Amino acid sequence: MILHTLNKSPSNEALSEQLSQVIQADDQVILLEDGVYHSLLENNDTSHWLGIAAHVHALNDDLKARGLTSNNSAIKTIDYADFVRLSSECDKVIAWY
Amino acid sequence: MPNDNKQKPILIVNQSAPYGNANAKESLDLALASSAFEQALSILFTGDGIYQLLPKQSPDDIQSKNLLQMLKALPIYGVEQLYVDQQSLTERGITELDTQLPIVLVNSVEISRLYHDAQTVFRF
Repeated sequence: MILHTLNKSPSNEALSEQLSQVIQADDQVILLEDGVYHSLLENNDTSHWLGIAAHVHALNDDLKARGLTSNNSAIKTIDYADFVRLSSECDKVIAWY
Repeated sequence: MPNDNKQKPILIVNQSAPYGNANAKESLDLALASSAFEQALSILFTGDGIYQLLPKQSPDDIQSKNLLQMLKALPIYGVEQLYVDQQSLTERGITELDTQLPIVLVNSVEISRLYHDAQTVFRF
């Protein structure tokens, strides 16, 4: 199981494409910094990471800063303690930036 | 140059999200400095720049200043209209912007006119 962190907005399409090529359904994703803007969009496309990943999280501090509340039910709001826990549970962490 | 009504405006284009980098803050600094010198000013929000206009921003926990609160001060400095690219909103699934901002939605023809009517263009 891999933990993927993504810190860029959806307009960085190349980054989303690269992540989509690599990700597997049981991997974990954490959206941080401008990555949390992905929570505004729903994407059930099975060729897009949002449609593939079963476990997508967003950092609460970054959501709150940007005026977002995760009303996207597929995305779980987490804090830094959860970030640490997920990092230790996964085999490795890949930062997409 | 004397300041008169024929003065062509400075156009500031905001195409970056707030907080992820310093662009939005620096753009605001330029806007406030320009208006302090009574320069005619147009401000356009496009692309990820429209994220600056989302309501209820609260960046205390990421140690940033609230940029939305500062944008709300622009009318006091003589910036009466903030132009917003309608298409950028649609692409990002955004339906609600802060209601206290003097927002004017614009299409691609109007955006082109803003660029051509400007004396100087700064993109952030």
